[in-house]
This record gives sequence, structure tokens and C-alpha cells, in this order.
Amino acid sequence: MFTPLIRTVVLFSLVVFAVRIMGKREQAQLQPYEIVIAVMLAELAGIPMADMGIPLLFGVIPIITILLIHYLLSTIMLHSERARSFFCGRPTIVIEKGRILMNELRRMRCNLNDLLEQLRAQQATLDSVEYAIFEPGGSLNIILKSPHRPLTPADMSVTTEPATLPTPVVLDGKLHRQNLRSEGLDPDRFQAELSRLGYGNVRDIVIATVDDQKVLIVQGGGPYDTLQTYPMQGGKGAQA
Amino acid sequence: MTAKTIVVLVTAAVLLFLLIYPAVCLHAEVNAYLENIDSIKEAIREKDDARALKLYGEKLALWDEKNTLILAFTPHAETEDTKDFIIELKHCLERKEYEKALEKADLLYARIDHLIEGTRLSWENIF
Repeated sequence: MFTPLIRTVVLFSLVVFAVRIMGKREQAQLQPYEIVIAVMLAELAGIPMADMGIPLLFGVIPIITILLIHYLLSTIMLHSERARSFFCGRPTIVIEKGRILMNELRRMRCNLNDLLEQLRAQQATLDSVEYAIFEPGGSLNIILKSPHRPLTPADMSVTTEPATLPTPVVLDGKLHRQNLRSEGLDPDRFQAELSRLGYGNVRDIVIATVDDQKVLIVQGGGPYDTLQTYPMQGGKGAQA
Repeated sequence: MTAKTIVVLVTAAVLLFLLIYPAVCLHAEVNAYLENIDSIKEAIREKDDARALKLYGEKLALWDEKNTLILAFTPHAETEDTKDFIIELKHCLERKEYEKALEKADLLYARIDHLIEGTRLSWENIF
């Protein structure tokens, strides 16, 4: 009975490997040809997994072939706009300057109810939409009319701080030395800083992040511990 | 060249190997079996059952143990059927039923030939 187990492990590993090689886009938003690939991969792995009468290679060879076809197609599409529009399709504008383009909707075999449903899903009303675009992946993206857009600091001419990217430096009680170094911090000094703030042992910390402004956000492992923010020595927060 | 490109190239090389090498070896292996069956048929025609059984024991009896490549590239049900034909041939030889043995050997020949036929690149196989 180890045969099905080993076959399953082999096919599962191969599919995981294939999805990993195909990249992150597959998991987030599928293009039409990628949907075909996803369905095929599942079938190709599932059938030899369940049927011991089918040689394992009957699953392995097609999966590798699909992986290579995908790689080839994505490389071609990276360089050719024509290939991209052939395999992925083009975005279709269905509302332009606040006007519904019925011809485009009909061409997409899409009715007004579908459009309204998609708008409702985005919490938008017809009168608030300046542009609505059906993307090749099937999602509807909208651009609101300017009076309906959320107010931004730019609208108010307010200067804001640049966005910062918090880097996790402690996760589940484990110090991530490489992340610390990428933030320009010395692990020993960082631990000393943690001790100064009352976190004696890294193992007692659930999470700690540091951003480019050297602001430390940390949560201890105690039942009543919450996220705390500290300006680190030498950081912008400390100057403030 | 990125790491991903290298992995994809290695995968492509593995695929080429899986397609070319076993196909070449498989054909050689199966052709050897077909020749063995011809030898057995010749012995049967000469009613030399001792030689036929000896050839059977040496060349055909361990069909499923020696043919890892055939097992890897053909549906297992077909190889099981082939094994059944081989056993039937043995029974005919043991009972000295030469006509029937010859018939079974012919069927076995066609069976094994069919196994390899399925792996050949041809329009019939593609469609």
C-alpha cells in the first residue's frame, strides 16, 4: 500500500514545483490560458494518483510539458504585445465618461444585470462611475467620478511622510538576523535594545518589526501583551 | 541567466530524456522479446518442446520482473494481459499442444508488438 502513497507524494511535489515555477500570478489572478493550465494540472495529477493501472510517467510527462509550454508562452508574451492580446485578451471599456457602451457589453456577452452586479460588488453606483473596464482576467475595475473619489492628502495639498515597509525581525520567538542586517541593525545591539525595552528574551516575543524610519513594533508572548511601538535609538522616531 | 531559467532548462532536459531515452531502450527491449518469441515458435514448429520450454524459462518467464521500462511506459492492464498470454503459452508447451502453443505464441507476438506500437510517434497514436 506504499505505492499510492509514493505516487501521491511524487505527483503532489511535481504540481507544487510546477505552480512555484509558474510564479505568483497564477495564484492571484488567472488569465484565460492559465485557467486551462490549472484545470489540466489538477486532472493530470489526480488521475494517475488514483488509478494504479496508469504508469506514473503518464502523469509526469504531461505536467512537465504543460510547465514548459507555460514558461514558453509567458516568455513570448513578455516580449510580444500581439501574443499577449491573443492569449490573454484585451481589457474592454464598458463605461466611458459615465456612459454605458452597450455595444461593448453585447460583444462580451454581458448584460446590464451582470454589470450592475459587478458595480454593487465594488460598492459603486452607476452615476458615480467615470470608467469601468473589464480586465482580461474577468474582473471589473472602476474609476470613480472625481466628486465620488475618496479624499486624499494630495487633494488637500498636505505633505505626508513616505510610506515605510515594516520588516519582520522576530517571528514566533525567532530572530531573523538577515532581515535585521538588511535594515542596517546589528543583532546583538538589537537584542540589547529589546532588553532595555523590557523584552529580556527573544523567545518571549511573538512578533517584532522594524521599518526604514527605525520604528520598532513589538508584541510579547504574554496573555495580556499588545502591540507596542517604540522609536529605536538613532531612528527618525527617536529624533521626533 | 536567472535561477528560474536554469530550473526550467533542467526540467526541459529531464523531459527530453524521459521522451527519448526510454523510447529507444523500450524498442530495443521489445524487439529482443519478439526475437525470443520467434525462436520459441521455431522450436514449437520442430516439436522440440524441451528447447521451447528452456527458451521460455530463460527469455519469457521473468517478463514482469525484467521489464521495468515497459511497465513504466505502458498501461499496467496491458502488461498484465501480456503476462496472461505468456502463462497460457507455458501451459500449452507443458501439455505438448503444439498447434495451440503456436497460436498462443502468435497472439503473444502481436500483443507485445501492440505494446510498443502504442509508444511510437505516429498519426494513428496521436489521434
